[in-house]
Amino acid sequence: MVTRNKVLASLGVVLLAWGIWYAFPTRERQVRRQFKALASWAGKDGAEGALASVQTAREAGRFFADPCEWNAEAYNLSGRVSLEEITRYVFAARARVDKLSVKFYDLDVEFPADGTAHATATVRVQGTSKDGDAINETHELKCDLIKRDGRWLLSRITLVQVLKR
Amino acid sequence: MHPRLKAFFFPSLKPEFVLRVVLVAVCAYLFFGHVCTPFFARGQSMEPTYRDGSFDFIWKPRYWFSPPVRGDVVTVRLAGERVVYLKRVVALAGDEVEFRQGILFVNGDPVNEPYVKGPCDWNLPPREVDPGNVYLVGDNRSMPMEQHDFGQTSLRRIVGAPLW
Repeated sequence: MVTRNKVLASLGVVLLAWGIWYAFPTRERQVRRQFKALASWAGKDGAEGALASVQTAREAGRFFADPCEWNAEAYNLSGRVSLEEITRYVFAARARVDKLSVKFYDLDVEFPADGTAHATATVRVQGTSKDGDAINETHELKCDLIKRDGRWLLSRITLVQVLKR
Repeated sequence: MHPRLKAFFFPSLKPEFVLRVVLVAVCAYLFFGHVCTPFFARGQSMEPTYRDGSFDFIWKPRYWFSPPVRGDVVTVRLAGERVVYLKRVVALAGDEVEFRQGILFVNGDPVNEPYVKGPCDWNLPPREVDPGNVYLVGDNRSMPMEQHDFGQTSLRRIVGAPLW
């Protein structure tokens, strides 16, 4: 009985420690969670109704600051983009794809100042378009994030040109 | 069960055995994590040399003591090394590269590329490779040039070469 109580007590301590660890994440884990949520939000698995697409696009504010600066020469996208434009762009992009999977790899986060973060990562986008064409894009990203209302928002996104033609 | 088989499948947890397991695990982690990393090729840009889904290892010591040369297939890191580009070196620093009707020209001379199998109609005006860089292109030139990731990159981004 004593042994059983000790095991249960140990399990309780482990669970409590895990609960504290989960409930009070460090700022690095907050940023990592934000990227994980972004990947989940950007993904699309099969057909999606117009209403669901609009709802998803409207959630862009959970991830992007207003405005957000983009430097993506490969997609002719440079400059400050408002949240409204991002929402429209996301809606249009989702309408063009059938399936989409977004994954971030090698995420590295630094905090140059309080309330700001700098992250580098490799993003992998795979899927199929409505026309059946395969989508297979891989890019290195440099991102600046700012903390607003307890949430880390992307304020600058730069696609690094690893291979320069 | 035969005692030797039993000893093999159900070894007693003696300190020597535990030490051996730990040593094997550490050596495997160091070797496969930092020297010879397994990878799956994804995408068609290196076909037919490396097919989509094929398995290989990145041999990292390959360029520890010598830089890559023309014709080498190399792996290029992005933000880290979990996702890498797999490309072929076609030109070195100072070389002039161009494509004319699908034929690669380096320093004005056409290059024989036996690894390129499909038809190619790429046209790319001449450009010089910057110091400290190499020019990389995939073997699959049948895909549209706009959809193919190629160009020059820093030698510092090269992390090794496929083992085979």
